This record gives sequence, C-alpha cells and structure tokens, in this order.
Amino acid sequence: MPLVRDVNIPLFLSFSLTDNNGKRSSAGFWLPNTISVTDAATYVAALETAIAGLSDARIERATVTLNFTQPDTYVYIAPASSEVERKLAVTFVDGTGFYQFGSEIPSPRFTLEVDGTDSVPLSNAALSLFADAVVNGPLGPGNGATTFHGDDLTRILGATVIHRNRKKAR
Amino acid sequence: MPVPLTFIWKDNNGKKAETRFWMPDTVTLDNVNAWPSHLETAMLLVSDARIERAEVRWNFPLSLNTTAGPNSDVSRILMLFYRNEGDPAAVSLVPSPGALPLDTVGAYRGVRLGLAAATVSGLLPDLERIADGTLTPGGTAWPGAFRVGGVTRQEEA
Repeated sequence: MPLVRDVNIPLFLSFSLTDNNGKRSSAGFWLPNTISVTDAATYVAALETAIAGLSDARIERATVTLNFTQPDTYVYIAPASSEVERKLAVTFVDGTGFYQFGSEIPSPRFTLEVDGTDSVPLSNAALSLFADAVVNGPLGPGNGATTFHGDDLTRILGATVIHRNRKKAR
Repeated sequence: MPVPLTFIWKDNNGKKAETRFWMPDTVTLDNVNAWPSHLETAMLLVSDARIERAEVRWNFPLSLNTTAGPNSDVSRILMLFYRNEGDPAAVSLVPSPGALPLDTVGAYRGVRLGLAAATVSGLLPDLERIADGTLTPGGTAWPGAFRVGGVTRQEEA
C-alpha cells in the first residue's frame, strides 16, 4: 500500500527565530492543505509580517511540513528477522562523478547478500530497480533525486550491508 | 534548493530508523505527492522493515530581512490561543514578543494569563492577520471577530 498524503490534515508552517544571544525557537501555524506553491508563499509572507510585528527576534526560516501516512488498511508487519540497525549503504554519483550522495536503507533483505559477504553486486535485480527509481524519480529521467547541493544523481556507485558502528570499507 | 524527503521505518522490535533523500527543486506542492509512494515501492524491494510514514519539509524564502533586537530573548514567549466554539483550541508561540511592554510580559516563572496582549495598542492587526491566515488543527477557519487571546510565559533559567 502506498504512502498517501492525508488531505484532511492541515499543512504545518513553522518559522525559526533567533534572538540576540543566538538562542533559537520557533512559531508554528496550520495552513489549508489544498493551497498551491504560490498560495503558500503568500501565506508565508503575510505571517512573516505578523510575526515581525510582534517579535524582535530574527526570523531565519519558514518551513512547511507535509506528512504522508499509511492507510488504515495497511497491515504489513516486519518479519522477526528485521533489524533497522543493519543498513544497506548505497552510494550514488552525479554526472560529473565528483559529487556523491549516500543513502542508508534499514533492514536490507538477506537475499541481497552473496556468498556470505556484505557486498551487494550492482547486477542484483532488486538493487538495480531501486537505483533506477532513485535516479529517475517518479517523473522520469532528469527529475530524480539529487545531492544535498542539488546535483542530479545519474547512477549508483556501490552498495554494501553495514551494521551500526561496524561500517566496512568499500 | 533541494527538498528533503524523510522516511521513518520500524522493525519487528519496534526500533525506528530514518532514510533521507533530496528531491530536485522542480518538485512543487502540486506534484510532490508522487514521490513518497514511488520511493517506498523501490525501497521495499531491498528492505523488509515497515515504512511508518514519510515527511517532506519545504523551505520558503523570507521577504523581510529581520535582525535580532538588542533585548531579544526567545525564552520569553507570547502564547496565542485560537478557539472556535466546539473546536479544539490551537496554540501558537511567538518567541521574544518585543512588541509587548516588558511589564506586560514580566519576569516570572510559570504561566500567567496575559489576555491584555490582545489589547495592546497596535498589536491587534498582527494578531488578526495570524487568525485570518491560519486554520484550526482540524482544518477549519477561525470565525468571529474576536478570537485571539494571549498568554505570556518566561521559561525557567
């Protein structure tokens, strides 16, 4: 069952504020769930003005949070062997080859491991499908996941199974 | 600016973990819905844990270039209460309410009713702007002309 956005829950908008001593706090509000990007920017601007009128702290950031949840009919229970401290560490790289992005998927399936080693071959069909989904995104090539700095990921570089505090060199 | 998409997992022992991806800046509020289910399907090919939920945190640019005042202190908080008849109340916190006179906020422990905050000259337009621009946690608008109350609090040192 796919994760779905609950349109009955309002969007949560949070402003981050900092005072003269560098201490941080936040102010949160609920917004209509049906608004567009343009509308959201309008709400943010209006509320920023209101907060600036009330507070003498510095307004640093405005963040809207969207939540996606499983439907009530989703009954999947992770098997007893599942363990989120085991990770599948996957490295992706951008088109230049210089910029990488590392992702950790908890509790990798044991079928990914070959001959008792922690390395997962890139030829593994499940891993290949996962990598394609990350690189291409739901909208197709050129619209996939990126690095933290916004570099488009173009291919998978490597994958290995690790355990917390026991990361193996690739 | 990439947009973070975070998945929250749980294993059979109830332990939780997170996985984060960065979506391209071409993602909008209108087309972001396709991302979580797309990556959920892909990740479940390689994992047997349960994905509990996903969260997208969207940063918006600010239009005002505010600076912190010399007496600003975010441990002083103006608590705004909004309530409709029959609805749950919503509370919004505005840190360092410098627009309020210090003797209104006061230096004291705990919580003290400060409904006077809504009557301080010049503040009502900003308070009403908040009430007009936001919803209750249940997703309904705030009706009525006077729907803002204020309480001030100073956290213990």
